[in-house]
Amino acid sequence: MIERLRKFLSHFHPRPVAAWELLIMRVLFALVVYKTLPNAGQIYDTQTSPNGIAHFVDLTFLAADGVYPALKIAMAAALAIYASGFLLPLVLPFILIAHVMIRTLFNSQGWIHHGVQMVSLVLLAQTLVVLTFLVYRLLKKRPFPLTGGRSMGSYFLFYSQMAIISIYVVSVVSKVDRSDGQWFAKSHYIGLHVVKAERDRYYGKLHDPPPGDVPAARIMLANPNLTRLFLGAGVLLELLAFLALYGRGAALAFSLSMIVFHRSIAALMSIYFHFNEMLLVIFLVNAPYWIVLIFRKSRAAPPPPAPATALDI
Amino acid sequence: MASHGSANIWKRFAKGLRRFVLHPLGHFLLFIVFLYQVKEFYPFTHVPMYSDPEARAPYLYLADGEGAPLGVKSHSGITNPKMRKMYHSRMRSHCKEHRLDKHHPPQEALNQIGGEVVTFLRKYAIERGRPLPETLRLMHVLIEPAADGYTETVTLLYEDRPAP
Repeated sequence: MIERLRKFLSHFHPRPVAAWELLIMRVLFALVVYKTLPNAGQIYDTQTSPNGIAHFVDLTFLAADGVYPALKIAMAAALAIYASGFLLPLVLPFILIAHVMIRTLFNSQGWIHHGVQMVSLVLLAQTLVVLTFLVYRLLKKRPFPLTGGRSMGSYFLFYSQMAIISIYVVSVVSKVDRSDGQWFAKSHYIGLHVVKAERDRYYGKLHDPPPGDVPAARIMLANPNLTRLFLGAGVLLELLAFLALYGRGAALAFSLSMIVFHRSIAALMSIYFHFNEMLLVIFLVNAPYWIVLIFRKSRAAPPPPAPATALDI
Repeated sequence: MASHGSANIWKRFAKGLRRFVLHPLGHFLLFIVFLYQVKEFYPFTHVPMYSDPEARAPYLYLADGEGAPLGVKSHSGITNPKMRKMYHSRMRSHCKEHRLDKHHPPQEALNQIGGEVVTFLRKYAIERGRPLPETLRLMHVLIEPAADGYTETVTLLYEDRPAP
């Protein structure tokens, strides 16, 4: 039993990863990070409800004339260098600090937007990996010991995946603790939030048809057990998210399931987690790896037998 | 003899703890504990959305002096949920600071926070070249379960009128 557990746990380690996989991931992730930068109009000159480092630092200097446009250009340059894979111990801390400052100011207006934390957390994980390798080399005067075909990229990918997955697992802890264990019993009330989400969308732009009945909400409220079954499947998926670290296949299965779940929530509640989905696609689905694998296997396979001819018969 | 045995237990415990901390899943569990303890400190979050579904869901909307709705995002660039979160977070802080009941704040608190939110929205609406009308109403809607599904109760939260 212990031996089986030990064998199971031995899978939860960084795995070898090809340089071209990492290059594709860095390019795509750099684009995502740039996309998460707000427009200049969303850089507010107040921080009335400080969040994070805004408790200690006045971040409104970002709203001063010319500061944010210059920072955005610097971010673009740093992200281009990051994508190339050079000078990572230099550019990653810069990208991380700038990203955290910008998004913290955005979240210090009285609302906390939960759509971008995952991106900053992946930046944090990658920065920690790169700096750990650097500090190890400086302190020990030799490179970080790598075995089993692993590279720094293996840790880079593994801890990026861990940062993504942690968001899903901690959300389950919150559900259990904040509801005093009553989350499943109360989950049908999310039907009320489906109505709220519909109304929020309408009153933002008044583009949609005026608010009417929300049948999905009525179904959820009238069928608590059905709602528990549907939402419970999502919670179970979140809870077991850590299994995605078991291997490439598990990462693919989990991430595709999670994307389907995100899409279901989007269809039901108009709540979108675009950046979460993008990170799942980049770091867990990792489609280029599977495409290359299928391509190589198809080329390595023995040629199909020639069609029978009259002579054979 | 007994002390030798307990020393062994501690040794094994320390060895196990070290292995746990060094194992990637150990890192993962420690990070989950860290995230939950830190709560909301960007970029850290404990993802509290929908973690305690209550039998009530409030939302706000903006209306003109006649009561006709206004697209808050179209005017100010700020979405409806952000306006609601801003209002509630300021109200929570205000009630905490002045030791008021946050569930039943007095009219002065409603006026002050409503005024602050409307001033914020007006500022960004002007910057975007989509100024808001002189008279503005902040409407509050409470969605609650009912026998046939749900009900929505609308109340006026705050009215911003030009000085006479």
